[in-house]
Amino acid sequence: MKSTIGQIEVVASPNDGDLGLHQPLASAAEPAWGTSEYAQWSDHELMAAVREGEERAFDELVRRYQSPMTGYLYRMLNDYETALDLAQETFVRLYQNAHRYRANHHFSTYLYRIATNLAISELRRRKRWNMLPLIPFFAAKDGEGEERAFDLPDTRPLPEAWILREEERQIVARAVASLPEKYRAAIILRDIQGLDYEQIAEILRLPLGTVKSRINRARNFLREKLRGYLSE
Amino acid sequence: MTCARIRQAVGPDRPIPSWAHAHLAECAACQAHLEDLRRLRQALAALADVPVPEDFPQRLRARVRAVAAPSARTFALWPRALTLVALVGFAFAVLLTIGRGPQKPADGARAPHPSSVESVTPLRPPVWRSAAPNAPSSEASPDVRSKGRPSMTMLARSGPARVSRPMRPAGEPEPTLLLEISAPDLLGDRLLQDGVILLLRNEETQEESVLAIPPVVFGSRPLIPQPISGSTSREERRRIL
Repeated sequence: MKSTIGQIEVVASPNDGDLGLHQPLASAAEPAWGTSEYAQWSDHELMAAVREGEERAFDELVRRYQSPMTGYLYRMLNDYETALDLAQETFVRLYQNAHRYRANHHFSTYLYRIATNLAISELRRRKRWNMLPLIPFFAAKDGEGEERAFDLPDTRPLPEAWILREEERQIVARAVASLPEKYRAAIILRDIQGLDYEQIAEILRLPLGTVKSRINRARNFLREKLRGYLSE
Repeated sequence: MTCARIRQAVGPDRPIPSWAHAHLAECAACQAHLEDLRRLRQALAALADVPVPEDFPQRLRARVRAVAAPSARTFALWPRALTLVALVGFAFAVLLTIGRGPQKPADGARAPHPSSVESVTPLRPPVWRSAAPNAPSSEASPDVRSKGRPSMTMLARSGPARVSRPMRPAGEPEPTLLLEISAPDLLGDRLLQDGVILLLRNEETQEESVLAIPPVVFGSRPLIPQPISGSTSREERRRIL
């Protein structure tokens, strides 16, 4: 699927929107396993319990943050499988370094910082090896010579509103993925993950003014890219 | 200029400054700009919900267990493995240095007269013994344990070891010295933390050499063995050590 938005062309990717079609999924709001006794504990209290070797406290932290971490890494990397892998690695590192954890900041700041470092390393690795996505190699050409993204056909009937919503999500996700990395991280943390400016400054280790400036620039950049779409 | 300033100051997630109200009320372009940013923010918020596979926690738990347990063992084994490699390698180098250094004959003496081969007594391996630097005499046993020092046993193996070139029969291949060190104690914390200084003595030639192995840390290198003469006084040895 290919759309034109303002001055850019946006190609629908199988990375977006089809995640729920091929595998069973869990919502972060629904505990998948029994950790209810820890549900009322704060993140800092849970980390203290993890330090003592309490695995179920760790499970509760995973339950709380698995979706935000995966979402953040997915939007940073635009690659769902790698995002899942790095989300798991984020929690592994959290567990391994639990003894070093100090409750000076928000727990989420600490966790996002680990995830950010992993994402930056992955992006650098991709640059170093000049990695190319495989999708274009499997893309077919339609009658007008334009590429169609390779995807498994989903024959289920879909309501029109759902289609429009998914298309909208894909278009915006593509625009976010096209942002320069330094702007991408800042706006994902602010407008998608909903963190406050101070937290973002700590996660990215940047002055507050720089964070505000980057978010402002990212919004203007996206606004330009999505101009026609946003005005509808 | 005013529009640019306004667009810098306003955002979808912060209150509009009071000085900007008047301009925003009459400037359609700035109103549209702010409205676009609000829509953009809504659209971005819709991207927050990324589904996670149901087995994410189970896979993570398995990964944590797999990573956590072996990592401690791996880190504990690394220095030990490095210690072993360093010990064997440098002890081998020491033996070769001692065997070839002071005993090297003149070029003319390299090929012994064939008639002398008959009378050559069978070569026997030299006995290498380790001694603590302050060991009192050459009578130190092969397994020495002195104050605060790890015990070591060193054996020379692999056939006739070269003691001096004239005694080597013509045509015999260059002998190989293999030094085996059996020192489980040495691979313990003492070597890892303090390092070890060894005094090696060839009991046939009375040659001695010092081998210093610093604490085993990534990137550290054992010192080059220093040959010392048999007549070196105890004070001199202490100075060298």
